Order: sequence, then C-alpha cells, then structure tokens
Amino acid sequence: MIKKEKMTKQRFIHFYRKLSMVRQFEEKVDELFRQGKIAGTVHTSVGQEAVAVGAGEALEEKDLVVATHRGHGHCLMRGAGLKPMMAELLGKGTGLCKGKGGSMHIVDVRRGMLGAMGIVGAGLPISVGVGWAIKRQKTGQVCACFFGDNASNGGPFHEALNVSALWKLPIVFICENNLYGLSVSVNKTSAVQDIAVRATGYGIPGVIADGMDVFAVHDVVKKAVDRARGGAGPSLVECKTYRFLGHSRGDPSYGPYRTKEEWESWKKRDPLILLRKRGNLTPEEVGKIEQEVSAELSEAVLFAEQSPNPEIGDVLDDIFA
Amino acid sequence: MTSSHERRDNLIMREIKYAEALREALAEEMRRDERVFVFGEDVALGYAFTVCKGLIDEFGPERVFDTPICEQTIIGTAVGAAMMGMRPVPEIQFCDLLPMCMDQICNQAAKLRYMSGGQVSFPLVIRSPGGKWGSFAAQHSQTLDAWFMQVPGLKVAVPATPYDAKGLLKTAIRDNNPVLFIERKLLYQIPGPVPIEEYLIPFGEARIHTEGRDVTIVAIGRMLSEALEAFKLLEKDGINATVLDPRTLIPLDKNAILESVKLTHRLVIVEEGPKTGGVGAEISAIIAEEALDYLDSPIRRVAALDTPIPFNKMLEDHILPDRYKIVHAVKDLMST
Amino acid sequence: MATEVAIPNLGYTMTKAKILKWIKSEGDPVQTGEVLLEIETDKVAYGIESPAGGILTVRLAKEGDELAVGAIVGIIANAEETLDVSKYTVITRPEPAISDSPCVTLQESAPSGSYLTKETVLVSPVAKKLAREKGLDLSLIKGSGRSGRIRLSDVELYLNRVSQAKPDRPEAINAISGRGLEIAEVIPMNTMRKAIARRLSQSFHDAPHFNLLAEIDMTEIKRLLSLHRKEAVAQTGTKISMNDVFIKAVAVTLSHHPRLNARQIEDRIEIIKSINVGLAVALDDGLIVPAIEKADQKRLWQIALERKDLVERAREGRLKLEEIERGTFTVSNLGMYDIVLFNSILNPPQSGILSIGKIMDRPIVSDNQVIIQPMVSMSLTVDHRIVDGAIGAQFLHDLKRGMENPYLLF
Repeated sequence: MIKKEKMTKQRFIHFYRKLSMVRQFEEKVDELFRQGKIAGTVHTSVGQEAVAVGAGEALEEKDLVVATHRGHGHCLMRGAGLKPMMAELLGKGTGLCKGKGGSMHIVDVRRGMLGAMGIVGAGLPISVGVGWAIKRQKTGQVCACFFGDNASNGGPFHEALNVSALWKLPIVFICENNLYGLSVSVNKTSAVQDIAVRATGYGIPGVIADGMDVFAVHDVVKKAVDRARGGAGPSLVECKTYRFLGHSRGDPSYGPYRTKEEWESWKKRDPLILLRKRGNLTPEEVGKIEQEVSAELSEAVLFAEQSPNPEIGDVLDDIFA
Repeated sequence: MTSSHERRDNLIMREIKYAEALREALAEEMRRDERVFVFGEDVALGYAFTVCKGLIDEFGPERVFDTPICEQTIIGTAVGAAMMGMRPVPEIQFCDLLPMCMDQICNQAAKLRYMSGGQVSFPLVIRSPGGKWGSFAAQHSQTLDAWFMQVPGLKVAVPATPYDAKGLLKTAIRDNNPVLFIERKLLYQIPGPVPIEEYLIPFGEARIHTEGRDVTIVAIGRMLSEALEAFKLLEKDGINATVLDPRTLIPLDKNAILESVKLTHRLVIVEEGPKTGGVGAEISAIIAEEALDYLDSPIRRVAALDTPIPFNKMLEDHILPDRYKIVHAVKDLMST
Repeated sequence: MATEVAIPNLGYTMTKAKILKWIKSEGDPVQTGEVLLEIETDKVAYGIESPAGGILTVRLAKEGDELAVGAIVGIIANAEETLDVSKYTVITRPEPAISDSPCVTLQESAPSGSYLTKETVLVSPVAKKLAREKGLDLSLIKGSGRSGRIRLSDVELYLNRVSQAKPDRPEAINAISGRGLEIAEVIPMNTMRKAIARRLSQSFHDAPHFNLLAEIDMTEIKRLLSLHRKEAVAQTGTKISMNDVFIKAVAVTLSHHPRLNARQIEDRIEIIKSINVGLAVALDDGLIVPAIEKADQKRLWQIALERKDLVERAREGRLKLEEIERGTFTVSNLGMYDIVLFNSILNPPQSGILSIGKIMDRPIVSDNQVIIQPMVSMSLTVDHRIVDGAIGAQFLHDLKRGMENPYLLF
C-alpha cells in the first residue's frame, strides 16, 4: 500500500518551486544562447519540467539518474548547484565538468547525476551496468534512466530492457515522449504510438503518465521506484509531454514540423499553469517563488559570467585516471 | 600503478598456454579484489576460446556470468558498473564485433571521464581476440588494433606470449582506466614460459627478444613468432635482427623503437592487420619525424593486403604476412 | 609556338652548370644563334645560343643559379603569343654546393616538371648525416645501394680507406682549421677548383698510379728546333716551342703504343682511334688541359699554331668543352719553374700522363768520358689497370729513342 503524500499547500509550493526553477533555468539558458554567451547548442526542456521534477521527487537522495541530452532539469533535480551548472554551460573552469562537458554532458556524480548523454540511447546500456552494480553492492539504490521516444526505437533500448528484466535490476526506465525526434513525428518513427506497450515484450510493467501533470508523473514513477527497490525488477514509464521550444536553439517552436494549433493546445496544459490551478496558488505566492528563483538564477549567471575560462594546460587533464 | 621487476634470476618458470595464462591472471585478480567480475557471451562455460573456463566454479555466478547477444549493453554495463566503483572485465567474443559497440567503447568509456571533468573513472578491461583462426573468413578473422589507437582516453594492449598476456592483463585490471585488451585466437593454445610467482608488466614498455645490429623488426601479436622465425632464417644469411614487441599500442614505447633504430638504421614493422592506416603507419610516421637522420633505408611495413580476408585457406595465407615475407622485406632493405 | 631554352649537355662528365651572366633581358627580341646567356661548367664558360627567333619572353633562372643539364632557363615565344608561364616553375637554387652539404637526395615521386632528377645522387639520411659531420664530398663516395644509393657502410668504408691512406695524419679529413690556429684567409672553392678537387681525388683513388722515369738527351731536339724555328716564324708567325715538340713526339710514339691512348669504362678498355695530346696549362686558380686533335698527323708548325691558340683561350676562359674532353693523353711541363722531376696525377679518364722537368745541361758518361749534354728527366705515369709496367716502359723507351733520334719521329 503506497502511502499518499498529503497534498498540503506546502507540498504544492515545494513542487512549484522546483518547476519554476527548471523553467526559469531553461529560459535563461535559451536567452544566454541567443546572446552568444553559450556556445555550440542547447536542448531546453521548457514544457517538459513536470517529468524531471515529478520523477525527481519520487527518487531518494541516494538514487541515481542517467539522462538524455536534454538533461538540465534532471541535473537540477539531483540538487546540483546553480552556479557550477551555469558555469559549465558557459564553458568555464569553475563549471561542474571544468568546462569540458558542456550542456549535453552535464554530470554531477556526487549527487547521483551520472550524466546527460550526448548519444541517443547511450544511457540505456549504461543504466544496466549501474543497476547491476547496485544489486551486487546491495545498496538499496534505484537507477532512473531517462530517454526519448526515438531512443526507444534503437537497438540499445531493446538490449537494455531485455537484460535488466532478465536480471531483475533496480531500474526505472522513463520515456519522455515529447512526440518528436528532432523534426520527425513519433507517427513516422514508432510502430506503436504508446511506447509503454513495448514493456510487455519484456514481461515488465509499462505505464503511461500525463507528462504535464507533475503529480501524475510523481505517483507513477514512485510506484515503479518502489517496485525496483523491492527487488522485483525494472518498469517502463511513459510520460506524454511536449517541449515548448524547438529541439535545440535555432529551431523554432512551431512551423517547420509542428503546427501552431498543436503547440497552442499543449501550451494550455503548461505544467506550471496546471500546478497553480491545482494548488490554488495565489499570484502573490507564485510571484514570491518566481522572484526568489529568479534572484538565485541571476546570482548564478553572474558567477558564471565572471568565472575564468579553464587553463590551456588543463586540456590534457582528466584523460586518464 | 605498481609494477614489479619483469625478470628476477630466481623466478621459477613453467610452460602454460596463453589461454591458461589469461585465466590465471583473471583468477588472481578476482581473488585479490572482489570488485572484479567477468561477463560476456558464453563466458560461464568458457565455451568460445576457453579463457574463462572454470572461473565460475571458484567465484560463483554473481561474478562470472553470461549475457544475451547485446554487445552495446555488454560494454554499457561495464561502463555503468565501473562508474559505481566496480572493476568489470567484459569479453567480446570476436574483435570483429567491436564495431557493434563502438559508441560505448569510444564515446562513453573513453570519454566520460574527460567530459565530466574527472569526476569519475572507468576501471574496465574489454577482452577480445583478433587475428586469423583459419578459414573463419572476413567477419571473424580481422585484426583491428589500429582502429583503437586513435581514441584518446582508451589504452590498448596486444600481448603476444603467455608471459606477456598474464602480466599485462593483471596490470590492465588494476589500471583505473578503460583498457582494450586484444588477444589472438591462434595464440590461445600456444604454450610459453610463465613464472609461478606473481608479476606485473607495465604498460608502455616494449620487450626486446633478440638483439642484432642490422635491422629492427617491430612485431605485434601473432607476428612476433613469425618474426622470431624470420630472425633464425636471416641469421643463416648473416643478417642479425633486433626483434622488438611493443606489447601495448597505447601507450606506445616509442623510445625503445627509436633507440633501436639509432643502432640498426633499418626498420621493418610487422602486423596482421591491413597495411593502410595500420599500426605500422603510425610507427613509421613517428620514426620519420624523430629519427630520420638515423635511417639507412626506407621504412618497410609487412602487413596484410588491403582486402577482406578470404575463406579459402590458400588465399587467406597469401594475404597475411609470415616469416618468409618478413625475410624478403629485410633482405630487400639490406640492398637498398 | 614557344621554344624552351635549356642547359645543354656539353660533355659526358658535365652534370651541372652555373649561370654567369644573362646577355639578353626579358622582352628582348632574339635571333636564332644569338647568345642569350653565359654559363660555367666545371671546365669552361659557355654561351648558350638561342634555339629560335622571337622574344625572350621569360627568364626562369637568374645569375648565380646552379642548374642541372636539361634545366629550362628561358622561353622564346612569338611577339603575339601569350604564354601561360605558370606551367613553368621558376627554378630555385638547388641544394648548396657540394662542399657545404652533400648532394640532393632523390625524391621518390619527383614533382612534375622537376629538373633535378637526372643527375641527383641518392644517399640515405644516416649516410648523409655522417658525411656532413665529417665534411666529406659525397660525389667521391661510391654507393653500393640500389640505383647507386650511398649507404652508411659506403661512407664508413670511404672513411676507413682515407684514414688508412694517410696514417700519419689521422685527422686529415677533419683538418679544417686546426685547434687554436688563426686563419689568415678563407678562399671559397669555385666551380673549377671543386671540380679539380673532385676529379683528381677520384683519379688518385680509382687508378693505381705507376711511375716510370727516363732521362733524355735533348741535343738533337735542340738542333732540330733551331733549324725549324726561323722557318716556322716566317711561315706562320709562330715560334715552335719545346712543348710542341713534346706533343708531337708523344703523339707519334703513342701511335705505336695504342694501349696508352686508352681509357677504362666499367669492365672494358677502350682504345681511342684519334691521338689527341693535351697540354696542361696553369691558370690563376686552377689547371686546364686542352688537347690537340690527331697530333700524330699534324706538322710541328700546325701543332704550334694550335697550341698557341688553345693556351691563349685557356687563359681567357674561352675554351670549348669539347677541346678539353677530347684529350686522350696529357703532357705536363714544369720545367719553367726549375722543377727537375715530378709525378702527375692521371687526368681521368686517360691512362697515361707524361711529366717533363727542366732541360738542364748535365754531366753524363758517354764513351767512357764525362761530357755535358742538355738532359731532361721525364716521368711517365700510367694507370696500372690498363697499362702494365712493361708496356709503359716500352713506350718510354721508344719516346726516348725518338727524341734522341728525331728523324725517327718527324
């Protein structure tokens, strides 16, 4: 019997703060990229925050996360500091990865964020290893492995689910189905539209959750986490969600491959709006939270901007242990 | 990384096969450190090339286990487990299958440490045999050593004798970095002297088997034994060769090769992989850059022809290097 | 139609030439046969004539450039023609001269249009390095590698031989300026000096030199000369000199001893039909040996005329290469310096050279009496690979007899 958390005001505020943190962080990142302060590319999760937050809240502090290339939110949820995260995105020496990883490879191992993964699907086999080690080491940890809809079409997905089901590993596979793999609709990439259905192929539970509802995500993931921790093996959770910005910066929110209508209909179900309604949060409460988050974020940006670049001599460090 | 002297006068040697030497290394390291574990396809029974045979009896199914056919996940599992502090030693049954898991080897295992700014290390050893078996044809007979020399963050070992195999594998397992340990199918059943006492061989240290002033022959893997036979044939004609085995390609003991070429003024590199872009190409470039003024002849590479390996035995032997081709190359060098 | 102007091959020993002076400038109209530029080989200066009429459109090399035979130095084109000059690479100076650093090594795949492949020397890097360290002239070292490549063992062998040849001066090769000795003057070796150095050194090492000495009574010759002199001057305006007599005497004697009119090429001896006796002429900074063709068939006064012309032009640097190359035997006279006797180095590829000393009145025994006669000492040096002692002796004997009884010769 799963104990349901009392939906107190504090709880709503707690969750809203998390959502706001991810939202503002991502919007700030987008802005910095447009200003040319972040190089390369960024994949923001504006619109998908509820998945990272909901799932993140269902995990314990000791648990581990393997994420996708769209991993800022997951990293934040593991408790990574804003300042070192921002500094990493700006490529500075004070960044989480000393400026060597960047957005797609943001890692905070001490806090259990084993990494955003630059290669689609790469996290799946790696999470198998993590799960195996947890089981072997009997630490009672759980590994949450996030991946996208299109990753579920690749070989590693199949290998990972098969093996982890076979060995009953403590993994929760969480598919963030935002309906598009870059510019291609999931209609054109997946033989089945509900990714969760694939779980039956491995004899594990497959559950769909409303990815815009942070509590819905939380509850479904919590169940899977408990199952894993209990030793019954992995589950597949599919969160139906939507990204409000393009695939990466430079990609418009709608137009080339998404219609404005579709975008607007999902926009109405913005996780932050949903939560505000559900929790009856007053504008003052919202304003206060958002302002606090904004202030923290500004500090982090300032820190990052003022931080120095890595030393040239550091380029050869950390190749080998 | 600790290392003991390779040779002490009071070592007791006995003859054991290459596969046996590897098994001993695995067993010793698994006894020494319970974080070490072995897995892959057909590993529990050691069915493919016998290296892991019997380990399950001593260490149990938790530390010695089979996987489905899923090369990416075999290596991915190693990566994830290594991140968690374990010391995995996965086996990929044929090196021809390494292309199946290139992402996990080259993009993940080799680079995640760097990309994380050193937050985590990956103490894993990927064992995989390469080279000819005999009519195993193009997809099961390749030698891909050179491919992996160009992956910063990955170490590559290519032992040629039972002695080297055991010492290098132990070192590899104790190394906190990803190591690709490329064995040779045809060497598994070849015996050689191996000390009873424990010993380690450091990476980046070549082994000189014979010393001769006329030419330096760098030989890798199974080509070492061919080079040693070539040495005997050349000796009869009054040509004395230094036969040198680098033993690890990354890190490469380039100083040993340079010092040898300074004495002999001639260099031949023998490898079982195709000539174009091979290990010999890299070594030739190093010598040309750093020791040009010591060369008395052009550098010669004796390698396989640039062709997929044919099934027919005669054709297969034709495209691969052997002692006679080495002798021919050396003699040709002596007259240029 | 554009015509290329190339460095001609002026003789089989010629390997390269240096541009001394351009006579014509870019844009000048030229006629066929007009001299465009002057070059210097190791023996002569030579004017290259235009192979066509037109405009000297482009000069591809400049004064001072050293080039190989066949190198294109200029293009002659018609006035209306536009030339795509880009396809002719302007020649840059090849590797510095031999004594500075050894020869250009062959490129395995020579760049297209390369002008340097014909006569370059192959040498391995380590051999090149050792030669450079020891200050060796690579052109003196025979290569035992494929295509004549000089290898380390060849350089080492050479060093061994040289140090053995001069055992009392083991540092001879490296005796550059000695330790702590102040150098008064450094004379850079010009093309000719380098050529002399190289060729004579090679001759000395390759050919086993065998010397025979004879003393000749010049009484009769002197009488002959005084008889003919007046006549010769009247007819030709030229005095007949002693050297002319030597040349004729040697030439006639050679006609009976063809073995001394020969040269060794690889594994055969070539006996030359024409007897072309050369006379060594000293120059300010070197030595040159122009030869008189078919000297055995020419009258003394003809020889005198030719000799005078050759020597004059030799001193002015205006000899034709062919005039030197055709020599089959050399006569060298140092009598004017009071030298009594000396041995010469063979002038390669000749197989004999006669060194003549000063004619001096000396006491000799004749009919049991001591009398004073004008005597001259001569040394015949032969290449013992071609000419054995007995043959050399026979020649010298016949020469002596001829000169002491001139009616036999003239």
